[in-house]
Amino acid sequence: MLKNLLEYIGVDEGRVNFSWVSAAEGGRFAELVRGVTAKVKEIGPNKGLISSESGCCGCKN
Amino acid sequence: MRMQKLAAQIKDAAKKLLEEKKVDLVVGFAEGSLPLRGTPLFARTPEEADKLTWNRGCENNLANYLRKREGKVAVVAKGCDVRSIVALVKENQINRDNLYIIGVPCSGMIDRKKVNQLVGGKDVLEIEDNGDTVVIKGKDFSETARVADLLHNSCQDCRYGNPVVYDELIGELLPEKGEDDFAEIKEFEAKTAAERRAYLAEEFSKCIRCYACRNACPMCYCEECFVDCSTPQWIGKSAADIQDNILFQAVRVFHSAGRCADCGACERACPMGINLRLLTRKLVKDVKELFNAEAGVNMEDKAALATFTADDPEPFLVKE
Repeated sequence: MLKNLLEYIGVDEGRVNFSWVSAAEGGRFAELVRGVTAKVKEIGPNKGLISSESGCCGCKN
Repeated sequence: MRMQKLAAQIKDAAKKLLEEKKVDLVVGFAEGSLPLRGTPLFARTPEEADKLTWNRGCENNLANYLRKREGKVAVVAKGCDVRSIVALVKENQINRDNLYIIGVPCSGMIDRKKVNQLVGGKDVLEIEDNGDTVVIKGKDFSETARVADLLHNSCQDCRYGNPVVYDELIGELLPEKGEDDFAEIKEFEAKTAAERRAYLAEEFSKCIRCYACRNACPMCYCEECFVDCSTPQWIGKSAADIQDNILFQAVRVFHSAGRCADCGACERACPMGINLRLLTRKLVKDVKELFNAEAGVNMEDKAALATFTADDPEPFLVKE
C-alpha cells in the first residue's frame, strides 16, 4: 500500500523496494541489496517530488 | 418537505430520549447563521433538542465528536457518519453500548462552493428544498437547480447513504446504488509520474497547513500528530515547502488506510479547495482491490490493515 501510494504521488517507479529476508539468509540478502542498488543507480539521483519540474519557489531554476 | 419532516422526526426522537433519560446528550445539527451552514449541536435537555434540524447543509461528520465520551450519547448520523462510527468502535474509541444511533438515510449534502459558483458568488439567503430540485434565493435573484448537480463530490460517489447500523431509523431507506468505479483515480494513475507530480505540486502549493483536514477527520485522533512534534521534528512546518505539504497529506492518508470511509470531511473542511480525495480515495481503492475490504461497512470485519492472512497479496515485494 505504501509503495502504491508513493508511486501514485510521483516517486519514481522502482525507487521504493520491499523484501522479506530471514536473518539466516545472508547470501540472499546481499544479492537483493546488490539488485536494488543497481536498479536505483540506473534510475539516477532522486530529484524529489517537485524540484524535478521547478525550483525552490515554483520558478524554473 | 421531506427534509422538514425528517427534522421534526429527529427532534421528537431526541426529545424522547432526553426526557426518558435514556441518554445524557444528543449530538446533531442546528441551523447555521446562513443557509447550508448547518452546525453541530450538543443538546443536553429536551428544550435544547428543539434546535435540532435536518437539511442539505448537515455536512459535518459527527463521528468526530463521539470518541471517548462519558455517559450515554445519542447521535444523529448519516450513512458516512455511521461508517466512521463503526470503524471507531472497532478501534475502541467509541463504546457501542453507550451510543444510541439515530440513523438518517442521506441522499447527499449540497456543496456551498458549487452553489456559489452557480450564482456567481452572490449572497445566498435561503435555500428552498423541493426534493430533487432546490431554489436558491438571494436579495434580487432566485435560481432553480438540480440537487444532483450541487452535491459534494464525496456525496456523488457515496454508495452508503443508508446507515449500516442504527438503533432507530428516521425516514425511509434509500435504494442501493451500484459499485464505485473510482474513475478519477484510475485516470490519475494512468498519467505519467511527471504529470502526477506536476498536478500535486500545483494542488499543494495552495495548502496553508491549517490542518483543518486533520481536525475534521473522525479517524485522525492521535493525541500527538506527527506534524506537531518538535523533538524530533519529523516534517517542516512551513506551508511554503510544497514537498512537505504533500508529504504531510501522504502520511495522513496513509494513516487512514483501511479506516477511511471516504466521507469527504477533509476535503469539505479545506479552505483552499485542495482535491484531497484524490489521495484518500487512492487508498480506499487499493484496500478494496487488494483486500476486498471497505471501512466501517459492518460490525464484523476487522480493519483491513489490522488483520493478517497467509494469502495476503504481496505485489510490493521485489521480484526475485
